[in-house]
Amino acid sequence: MLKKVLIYLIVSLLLSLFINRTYEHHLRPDSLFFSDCLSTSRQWETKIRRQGEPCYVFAGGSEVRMSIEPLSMLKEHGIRAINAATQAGNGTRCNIQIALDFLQKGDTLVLSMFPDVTSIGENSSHGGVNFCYTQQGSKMFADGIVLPNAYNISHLLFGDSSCYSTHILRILTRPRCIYRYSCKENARISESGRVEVFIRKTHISPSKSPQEIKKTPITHFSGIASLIEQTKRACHTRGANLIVYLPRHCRSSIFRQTYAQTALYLTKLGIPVLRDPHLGTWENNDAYSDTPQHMSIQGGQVYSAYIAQLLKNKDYWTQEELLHIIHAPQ
Amino acid sequence: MDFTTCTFWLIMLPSMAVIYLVNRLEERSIRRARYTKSCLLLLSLTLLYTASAETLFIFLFVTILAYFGCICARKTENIKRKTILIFLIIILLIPLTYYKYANFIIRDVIGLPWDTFRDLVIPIGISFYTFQTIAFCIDTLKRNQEIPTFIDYMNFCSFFPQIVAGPIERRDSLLPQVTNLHLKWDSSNTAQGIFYIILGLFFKMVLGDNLATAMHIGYDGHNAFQVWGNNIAFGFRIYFDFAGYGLTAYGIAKALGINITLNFMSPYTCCNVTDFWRKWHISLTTWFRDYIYFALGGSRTRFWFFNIVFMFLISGIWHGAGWNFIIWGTLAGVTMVIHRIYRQSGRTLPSLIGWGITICTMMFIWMFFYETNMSIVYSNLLTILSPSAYDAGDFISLMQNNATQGSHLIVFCFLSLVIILLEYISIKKYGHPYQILLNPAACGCMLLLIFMLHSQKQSQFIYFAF
Repeated sequence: MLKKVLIYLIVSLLLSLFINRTYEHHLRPDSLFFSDCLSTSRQWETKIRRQGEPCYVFAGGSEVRMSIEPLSMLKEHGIRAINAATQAGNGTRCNIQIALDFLQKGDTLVLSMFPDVTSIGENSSHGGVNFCYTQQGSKMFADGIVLPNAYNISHLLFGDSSCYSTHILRILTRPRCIYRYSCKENARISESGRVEVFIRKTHISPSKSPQEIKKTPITHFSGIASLIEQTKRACHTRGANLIVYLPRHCRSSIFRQTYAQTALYLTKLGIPVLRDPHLGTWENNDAYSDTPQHMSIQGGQVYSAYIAQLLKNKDYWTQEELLHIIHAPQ
Repeated sequence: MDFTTCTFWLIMLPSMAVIYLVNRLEERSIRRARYTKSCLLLLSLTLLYTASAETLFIFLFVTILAYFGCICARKTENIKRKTILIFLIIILLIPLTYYKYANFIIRDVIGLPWDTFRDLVIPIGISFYTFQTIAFCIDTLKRNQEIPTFIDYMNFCSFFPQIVAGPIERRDSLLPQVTNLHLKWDSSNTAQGIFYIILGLFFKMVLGDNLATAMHIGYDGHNAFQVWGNNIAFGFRIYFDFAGYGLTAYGIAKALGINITLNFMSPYTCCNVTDFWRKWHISLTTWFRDYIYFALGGSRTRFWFFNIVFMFLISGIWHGAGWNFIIWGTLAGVTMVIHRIYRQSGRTLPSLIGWGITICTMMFIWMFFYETNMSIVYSNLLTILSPSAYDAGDFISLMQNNATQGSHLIVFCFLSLVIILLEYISIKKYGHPYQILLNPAACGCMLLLIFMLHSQKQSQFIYFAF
């Protein structure tokens, strides 16, 4: 009897591994959606890569994937950019890991970081780790950003109930939707890899209350320094550079202090931060589509052109400027 | 002593291996028994210490005091013994009262604005071992039974599978087993134990934890579907969470060759509330029945209805310090009284209707258990009693706005119902609610589901808070 129990235990473990990997590779909607995005970005990369002309590789969540338009950056400013972002739910570490795959010698990794980001710890999300592994396999171990953390390895072995239950509900209620949008009706992936969302909300309210945001800027997390250090090292081994930009949100100017504090913290770590004088806020409802992070088609074009200009001019914050903003009367 | 953590198994499994090894090496049976008992006690106390040093200290205070209290009382005459017993029970209840009820009594009952006791952390398992110790004292002194050796007594009190969340064992059932403890490798017992452990972990990790994430804690809106969703999720959650703990504890004890009480016998398959409480948290219900209900005269007095309500009121207070627990206990008692009056009238309901009424009643009553904020409880009560809160649009918006919670609720309530149906079939076929799930194939399936569907957000066992 005991032998039989042990055999069942091993078979269950192996079967779970098989089902989990099959699901993550071939069935999980988020995974399929962002795999499509990344393969479009790959196609775009083959089009624009020229010998000796470095590219800017954008890493981050959906705030990048739905806002940064490499085509308009190339057309208007001659900036060769690749949108290698996925979704914030994957976690910052996984998003960096995904983007590292696009980096080549001389390139610059442009990392998007929310001032209130909460997913920078060593432990990544189940979906993030599995998506990374689906894209890169065991290559991930070399950088040490996501793996070989034991907790993250467990994500590769075991499933996550919320994936399955959400998938079941989606099949029952919105069978045509991939990810959170139906690709045909609500969104499309542009030639250069930006996701253009057609849904428009007339009024977008900030996703978190200002008080909550103020309490949790990334500077409060000790993990940020080690993450930046690991990312710098991974860029260095590829002969690439690292810069950070803090994305703009559709939210009130109360967030500017948080932005400045975060930018200052990163600058002190020796990371150049793109100098956006709007300090991460854009109180323009028309520039956004369905969330305070996802830009509309027009908003994204304007913003991408603006970022391209900053990249072209190598326009970064200085510590003095940021200190001045922090100490200025409110 | 959380069975779902690696720490527990990493301490328990090697320790058990050492105990078995010592047991095999030592040839003389008297010394072997002594070694085994000492090692088991050391393991139990170590596991208790992993919770906190304070937990261990309070446990030792309660148990050692009860032991020497019993020795002193046994030497005295009957009347004096009774006085000492009452005095002893009061002293044994002091730590429990201090940690669990001080804040409630001072702030809510007396109304003093003191914050001194607000942040007291209740030592894990205090309600369980205090009650087990009290039962030991009563049984020993009332029936004038022998005082066991100190090591046997300590093993009885601290037996690690059941110390933090029950079952609350009696001296007649557990003490003889720990006294005659002979750890021998028995593959049949071990296999049976593993079946129960897997079933318990499946209940907790797949159903209990996932139903916890399906709940919107602190909901204070006007959507009746959300309130009922929370009630149903919690109703199933508390069963699978607590029964999961009990089954795992039963499995571990079984693997050691010790039989402890199964705390749940599929209460959600019952067709009336009386049966439900007979099969829910059995060791606590029988404790209250034997030491409170029978002590008040049981059903043989004119005031039997008062005895029932009082017993459930005490049960509510045992669960927690708050008005919500008092209302919960009272309501549970009142429903019992209503059922008894109905049964005495000679009428019976068809099983399916009885089951439906029992489930609805219990799901309604749980609302007073999980929500400790009385203003939210009141608001939710008004919501579910208001017909306008049952708009179809509210249901659709609930599923759209909280897709993850909504999908979890539907998927895991469905899975819960499937398990309850299997328990029902098992009762009909084997006379035991879990027999159908205690075989290698079923355990293989449950293991697969544990690996695939365990929640990323693990929650502590609910009854650790009690």
